[in-house]
Amino acid sequence: MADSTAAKDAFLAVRMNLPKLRVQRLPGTPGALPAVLPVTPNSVTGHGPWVLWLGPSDWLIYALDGESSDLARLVDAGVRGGDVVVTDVGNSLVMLELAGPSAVKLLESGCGLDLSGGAVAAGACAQSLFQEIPILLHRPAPGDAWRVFVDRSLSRHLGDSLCSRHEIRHLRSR
Amino acid sequence: MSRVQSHRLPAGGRIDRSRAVEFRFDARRYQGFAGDTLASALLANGVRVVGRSFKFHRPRGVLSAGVEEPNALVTIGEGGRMEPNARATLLPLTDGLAARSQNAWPRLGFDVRRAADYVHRLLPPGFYHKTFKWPGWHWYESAIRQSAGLGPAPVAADPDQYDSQNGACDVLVVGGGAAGLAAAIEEAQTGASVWLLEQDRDFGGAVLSEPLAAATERNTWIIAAASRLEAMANVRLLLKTTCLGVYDHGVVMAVERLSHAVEGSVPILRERYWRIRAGRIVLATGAIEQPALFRNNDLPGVMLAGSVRQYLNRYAVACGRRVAIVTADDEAYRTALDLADAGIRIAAIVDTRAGADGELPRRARERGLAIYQAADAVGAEGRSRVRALRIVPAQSSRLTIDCDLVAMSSGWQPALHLYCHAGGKLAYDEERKCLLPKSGPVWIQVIGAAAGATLSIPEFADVVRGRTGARRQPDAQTADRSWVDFQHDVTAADIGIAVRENYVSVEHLKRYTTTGMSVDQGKTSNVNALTLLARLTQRSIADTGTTTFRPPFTPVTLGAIAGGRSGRFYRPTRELPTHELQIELAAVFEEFGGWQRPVAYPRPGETTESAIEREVRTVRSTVGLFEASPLGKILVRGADAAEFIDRVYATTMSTLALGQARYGLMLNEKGVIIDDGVCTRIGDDGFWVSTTSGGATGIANWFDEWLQCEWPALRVVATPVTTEWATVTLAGPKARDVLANLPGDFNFLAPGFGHLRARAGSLDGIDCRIFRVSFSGELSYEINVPAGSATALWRKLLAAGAPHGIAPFGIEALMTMRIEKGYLHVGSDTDGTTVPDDVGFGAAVAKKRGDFIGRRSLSMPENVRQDRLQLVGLRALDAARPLVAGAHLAEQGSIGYVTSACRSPTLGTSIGLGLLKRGRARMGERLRVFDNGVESAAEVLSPMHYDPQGTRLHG
Repeated sequence: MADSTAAKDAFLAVRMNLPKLRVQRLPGTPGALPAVLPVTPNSVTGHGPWVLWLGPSDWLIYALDGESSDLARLVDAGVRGGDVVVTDVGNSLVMLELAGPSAVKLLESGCGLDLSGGAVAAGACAQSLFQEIPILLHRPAPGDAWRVFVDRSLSRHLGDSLCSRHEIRHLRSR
Repeated sequence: MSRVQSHRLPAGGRIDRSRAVEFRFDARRYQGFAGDTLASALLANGVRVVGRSFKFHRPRGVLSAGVEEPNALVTIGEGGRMEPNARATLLPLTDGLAARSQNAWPRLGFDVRRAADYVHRLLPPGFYHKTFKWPGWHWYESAIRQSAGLGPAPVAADPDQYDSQNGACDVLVVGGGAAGLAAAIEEAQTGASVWLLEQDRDFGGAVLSEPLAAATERNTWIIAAASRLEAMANVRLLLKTTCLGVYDHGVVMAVERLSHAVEGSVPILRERYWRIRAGRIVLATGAIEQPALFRNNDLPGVMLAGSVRQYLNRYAVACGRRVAIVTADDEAYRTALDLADAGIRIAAIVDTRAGADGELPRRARERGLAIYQAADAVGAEGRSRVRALRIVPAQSSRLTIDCDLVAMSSGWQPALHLYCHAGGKLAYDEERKCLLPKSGPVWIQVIGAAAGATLSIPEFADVVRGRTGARRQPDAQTADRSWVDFQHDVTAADIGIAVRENYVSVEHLKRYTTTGMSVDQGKTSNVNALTLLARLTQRSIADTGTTTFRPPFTPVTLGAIAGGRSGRFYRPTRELPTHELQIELAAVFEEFGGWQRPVAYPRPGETTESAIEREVRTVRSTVGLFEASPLGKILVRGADAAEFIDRVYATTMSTLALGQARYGLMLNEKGVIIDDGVCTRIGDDGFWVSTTSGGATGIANWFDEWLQCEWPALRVVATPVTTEWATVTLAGPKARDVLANLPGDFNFLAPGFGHLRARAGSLDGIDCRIFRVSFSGELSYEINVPAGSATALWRKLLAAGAPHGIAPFGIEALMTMRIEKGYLHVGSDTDGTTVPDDVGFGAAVAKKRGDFIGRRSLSMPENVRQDRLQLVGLRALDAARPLVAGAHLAEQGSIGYVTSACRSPTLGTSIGLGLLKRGRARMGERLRVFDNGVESAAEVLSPMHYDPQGTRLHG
């Protein structure tokens, strides 16, 4: 397969204030984890809201609508019980939605994971860097749509540097 | 007026004769064809001299047809697109290409600095080291740089775009010749993902040098192999892509050339930088022909035999009309035979071997070509181009052969640079007379001509066989003016001089003579230099060793390495949650610790300096607003949170009641201060840790390290929330009045809400945590709100403060006020040795019960020495010479230094803080202050220049 010239076929949307919670489990907590918290590295449970594995005792829960407090109720019902600490990170993490046939190429311009080779399977997540910027990738379904979580303070730099590349056709508003 | 392509053959070649391409070289216009390189087009036009040499300004012509080219370096492009040292052998000929020769003055044909060549005996290797010793090399450097060297660097900014891309594959094949294509097919058939990189614009490697007619079978195979690979979904083919380096774990750097356009106002995408992670690497990088050593072997018209053949067959260029071949292996006979087939006269074949009777010499003999066996080439004749070759045939006297082209070869050296990058070792093969792979990482494999081996495809065996024929031992005795390194002007005699001066290590030889340095990195000189060195030191080549090959394999542009990360994308910068509002407020931004932060808010007619002074006066007299969001914020929660907090601070925090805050220092294990800030209890099992802005990420990681590695049993989690919460500082005597104007849950007048107290609630509809802490020395509130609400809060506070003349203030005004107040700034007023007692916290820390990080180190002798540097206040005594951070405080010698300094608008003088030996015992002393050779004077004071009782703070 020869390297074709880049087609302008990627789309980027910036979602600033989606509800997001970070859930951390306190050390020394006895008993098994509630099923809603995935234990396999880089795995994700749910289909909206989603629970992303960040570490052996660390998860991110997010949804595409509603409030962080809705998610908090979900956590209360499913997990809390004094074993976990919940932090609202709705403001500090920004989600960039990338889609289109060139989305993977765009991400690979700064991210060393072999995304086109399946390093992040459909329905999985991964933490990596885009250049020096820490990112959290979530691929919600098979296909070319990606969700990239990045710290709010670096979101414009990341968004603009993605848009500065010629593959981008459209940027939806922040 | 374009000139006739005098040396172009009427037919043949892989060029497109239907597309003429106009180009310029120096002042002249020429014409070539699509498919030419600049070098082939120049040769087609009979241009012989293409550059001047590095040191002696000798005229030089094209030597080779590839990456190894040492002579044909040109400058292309103008302004920001200027590119020096472009190798004409690699430059595709494009319409409008304008190339300029380098290192010649006033012009290429007549270079006055050639004078250096006539006095070359005065300029031996090491000449500079020996001559320009006094008073210092730098006195002479610029003059020497003027007269020697390569092309100048561009000064304008590059307007073009560069790209970078990551890639990954199971198998990476480097080199798209027959061996590489065959390997790629074989690997791809297993289902592995395979990438194939080829630096040329075509696949084929050595096959491209063969006559089209004779090579039909091989050509067909190459084309079929390439199309077969192209059709495979698991294969990626990259042409015009040079693999520049191989690193640990199979990480590969490569650059893909996308466009060679040299003019036009529209930025073009020029190059793409590839970072490829390969499971395995197969090197099919071929071999590089090595020059023969004889006097004047650098004259224009002396070329590598294989390159002459490539110009003939690939570009239909006759590099000469009467050719002498000098060879030490069979392969050069192919050049002779092909030239003869094209009707070019072969004046002689000078074979340094006796009894060469392989198939190729036999065919040459059958054709009636004049072959001198066991003969030596002694020297080339001519001033700026070769006119004759002097040889010594076996058992006969000297003979002069008229010729206008010498095609030479002393064998082929496999291109093993990438193998060495990966840690591979080479061994000298006495039989094949070249360096071959000896041992290397298991994930790298060398095949084809690069391995000195034959291909696995039988019909292609002859493509590589014979490539590693006998290497003639260079003769150091005929060494003067016999060039080993063309690019850096090193002769065989220079190698001899270096050896006589005992530079007998191959690494020393390289540095003393500079052989193997510069653009070509010795691709045509290293092996000859090594062979000579071995001979002169009577060692075997194996014992002599080789120099180290390092990336990049060929020169790489800085643009490609930057890969688009220039200008505002040079590195990531963080943006404040109120960034747009700050722009609206006319902030002047600067980068502090990776954040774009307002320095000051100059009004029309104000300088930044006068704005800073006004902002300080505003805060001191009424009220100001500061964007403090980068301030580090970490939530520490869990049943053992108080225990953890006590261990990480040198101050007791566990005694804090709900809503109480305390200032504390954090130390490392050595007792040195690494951060400071205010810690607040926000719940029974929860603390809000406020760190410095610069320490925000580092301290969060530091907490995690201790929790995960040292104290895993503590039931605590630490959560950085720096960017979740924006911080707005409202400071000044009217701060409380402003807040009291806003509706909400807070009673700012309540006695419980004094200094170092915190409350949470709603302020005019925005959820917030308000801390009464101060870095300015004034009554001050740090209001933390969700980052998304920060701009709304700013607008509310600006409106509520308008009656009091509220104004935003920047980081410089804050820093001025904290120096006035004598507040420590970790990293400015502390260094990598400062312990709490040095900055006046000795007693407070000593009182603390229980263990904490750094405690034990505080009692070590070094940390209780009497003459340690201690924090003091300073006041300049000479109004004309304000204090400068970094200036030395002196008695006989330096006894300390100024750590922070400012002009204090409040005190109307230049003040500062400093670290001074026995500083606390020196109050009132006058010291000399040295800064960059200027002396002034300062008085030592308490650090607290302003409001030492803290009445304003508690107001």
